[in-house]
Amino acid sequence: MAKIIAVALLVVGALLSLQASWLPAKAWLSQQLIQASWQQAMVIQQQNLSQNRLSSPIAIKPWPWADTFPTAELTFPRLEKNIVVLNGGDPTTLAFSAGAIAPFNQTNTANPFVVAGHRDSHFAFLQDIMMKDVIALTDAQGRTQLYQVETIEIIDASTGQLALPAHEANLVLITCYPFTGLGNNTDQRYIITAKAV
Amino acid sequence: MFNSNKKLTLIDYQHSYFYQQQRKKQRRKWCRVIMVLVLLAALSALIVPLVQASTDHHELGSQASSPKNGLIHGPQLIFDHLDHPQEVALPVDLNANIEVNGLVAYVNVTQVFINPYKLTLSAKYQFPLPENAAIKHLKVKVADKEIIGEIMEKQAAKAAFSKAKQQGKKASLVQQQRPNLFTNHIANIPAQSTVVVTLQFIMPVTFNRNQLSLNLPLAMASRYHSQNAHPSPAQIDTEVIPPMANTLAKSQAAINIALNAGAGIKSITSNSHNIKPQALNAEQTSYLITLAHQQTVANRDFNLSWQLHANEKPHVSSFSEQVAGEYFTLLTFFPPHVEKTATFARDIIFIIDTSGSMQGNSMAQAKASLQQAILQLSEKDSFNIIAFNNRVDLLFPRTKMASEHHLGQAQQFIKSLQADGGTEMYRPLSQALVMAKAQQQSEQAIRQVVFITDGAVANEFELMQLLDGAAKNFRLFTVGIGAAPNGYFMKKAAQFGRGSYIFIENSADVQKQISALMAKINHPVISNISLIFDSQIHPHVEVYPKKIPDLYLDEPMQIAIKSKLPISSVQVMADTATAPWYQQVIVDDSQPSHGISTLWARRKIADLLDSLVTGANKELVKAQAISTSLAHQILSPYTNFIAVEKKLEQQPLLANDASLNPHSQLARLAKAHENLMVAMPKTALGWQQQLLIGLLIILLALLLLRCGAELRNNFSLWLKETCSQSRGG
Repeated sequence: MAKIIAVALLVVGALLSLQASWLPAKAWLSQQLIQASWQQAMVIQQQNLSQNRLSSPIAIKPWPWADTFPTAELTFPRLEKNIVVLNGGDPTTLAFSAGAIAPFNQTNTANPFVVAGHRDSHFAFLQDIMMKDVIALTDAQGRTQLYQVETIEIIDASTGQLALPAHEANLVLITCYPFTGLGNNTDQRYIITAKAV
Repeated sequence: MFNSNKKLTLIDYQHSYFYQQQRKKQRRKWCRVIMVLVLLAALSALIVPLVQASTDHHELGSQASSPKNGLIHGPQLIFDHLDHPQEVALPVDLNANIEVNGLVAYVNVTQVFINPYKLTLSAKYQFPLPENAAIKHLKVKVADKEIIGEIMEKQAAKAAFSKAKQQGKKASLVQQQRPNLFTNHIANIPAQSTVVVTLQFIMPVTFNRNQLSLNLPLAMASRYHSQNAHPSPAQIDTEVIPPMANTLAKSQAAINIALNAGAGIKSITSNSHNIKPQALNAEQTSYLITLAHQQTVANRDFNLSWQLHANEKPHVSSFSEQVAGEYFTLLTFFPPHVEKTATFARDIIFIIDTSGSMQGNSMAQAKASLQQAILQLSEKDSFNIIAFNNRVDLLFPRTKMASEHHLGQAQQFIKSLQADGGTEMYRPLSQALVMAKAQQQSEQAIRQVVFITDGAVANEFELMQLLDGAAKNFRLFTVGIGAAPNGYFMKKAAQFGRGSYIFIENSADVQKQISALMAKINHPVISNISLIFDSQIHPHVEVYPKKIPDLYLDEPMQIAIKSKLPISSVQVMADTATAPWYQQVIVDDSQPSHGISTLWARRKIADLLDSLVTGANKELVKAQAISTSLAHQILSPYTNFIAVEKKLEQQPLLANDASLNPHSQLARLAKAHENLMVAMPKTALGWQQQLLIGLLIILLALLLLRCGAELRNNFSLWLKETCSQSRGG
């Protein structure tokens, strides 16, 4: 009897851990595909640039049935990290990589660029960000803009809305807080604001 | 030695044929278990992404639908700028003073906005008013000029507004577009200047089981910029900072509440903010409440609730105010907080509408409610049913006691009802009012009429007049049924009949709502309430509501009184189920309270409008309503809020360059305060939690496996076997 229970528990436990580890596995796997498609887009941009053609953003889907595309790349030189940002801030997109939230998903404008990511996969390294850190943003046209971290704040997000100054070309990174939290329900957000330099 | 002996025998044992077979079996079993596990794992790997995808979609849908009206959390200003039509200015500073007197809250909110553009612009000010709030005063301060809102007659107000706008004057006009959204146009706001809006209104306090609560939309969503630069707050245990304005405008956002409950307060809490209550008197009826941390107005509603000490008897408290030589007194009746009270004997007549308009679902609902209501009758009650369309069907010629036999007859009668024909409400209603009581029923039994209908009638006036002119010994409760009942008529009819109105929208709620109504009318705490004033000192008092309803459990009641001289005491006479009830209320006028006269004026205007129904002179009512409205500065259907500045001020159309502008500091602030809302998605997968649980379960399973006695034996045997094998090898 005890054995049956034990085996049943073993099965349930294995299933749970498999499902749980599937999430970060998916995140990692998709990141590889997204990186590949981003590199491809960058290569085409380079060719366009060398031929002096007017470059327009190139959207290559990381996998054929994807409903989003890479829109920018963030590089964190001090942490030696880089991440390709997808377009859109919906849960499906965020499962694959960090996402730029509409209407703040346009680079090279006077408006902020807002990126959200999961604290326990793509944006886990945000906890190591420090004030005055430099972040590089490469957009789909191959242009690079440098930002410097200006504020880091932890805010209450029970309303689900964040007010942003409209006409500052800041880079805003959003993830859940605390980083060591286990569940997926938290009312706190970790907001990093970086100013263009 | 003992030990070595034992070892020897065991090793001997192990090599027996029986045990070898046993071990083989064991191994095969494990093989199977592992196979199953691998299969399941593969399956889950296939299924999980599918499930994930579907849940993701679900989340997406709910997120997309929610923020429809999400932007109006609090006061805001929308500029008529051509290039930025969507942008919303939030207040950079907010100050709310609230005075609570019993069940009325008097709120004074001051908000500071900034026009961030280099243009003189018009703007729309919006404030999400709480339900049933009444605007009392509006003050808009634009660029050092004050505009004080005043109540004017409608036509005059509109004319004055357009005239002022044409002349380039600052003017604002209140328009009520949606019931709960106060909208106000502010014309000609100079470039990069501040707008200070002061709004005063009264609002009711919600009462629920001795728990009173207040909800105010006071959002202010400016951001906080940390000055002392921590390297990374993630590594420090930081306090949560709500979105608030701190360094940008040096704002002093604050909420102060003077709570005067009129009864002993047990506890005060706020779900939304940290508050600091301070008792003002020994009886703990008054408190001064401030926010625990100044400047913590978060991006959400302010909520305050307080609990009263449970009373066994009804409690009456009083508040008073003096306005322009007249005295206003407010009596608040708090029902006792008891589980069960002695019940009055009742004489209930149900009137059910079976006209053609009730056909289909409405009729089914009406029948269900009636059946439900009959079930709630007790042996002390007598009852009757009147069904009507263009003719009237009576169950009994007079009311009969609710015996089993009679109830059976009633159920039969209800079953046979069919919707057909026209609607003639007058006859059944008048019959119900004069119908004879059952002989066994006591004299004191209250006649209650429960009227179930969709209210589709043409002769509202006639019916109101019938109810108005009828003897005062009955209570009328109306139950609205169907898709769109004539709610106005039924509410008013119930008011004339000193009862109440409920509307059953959903047929699934029939049972719940009818039970609630029957339970409520079963327990009037005190009925036949009358007030007695000293007629020598107070020859003329105006009391609203004119017909004082009964006091029911869970429903506190307010009576507003106007008198020429201050009222020092009122005698309240009433009946409880068992005995007459009397209380002398001493009015404490040492502490003047705000909002009492407003409440009185509001009631008076409502009463004046009701009198139209019973055929009062339209012009006279209009004149009286306007004069009350003007005297007490409260909106009515005939008046409008208008705020016009008298003096003309020249403003350049385009402001100077920002660097030359003396307001450049202000301009920078303004720029920083132009906010856009961004939705914050969920940014945690929560996979660690699940993984941990999974691993824990596996661990538990392994432990269980090891602890099983038989398995433990096998395990040790297997160990020894391998040992011996290795030794042998």
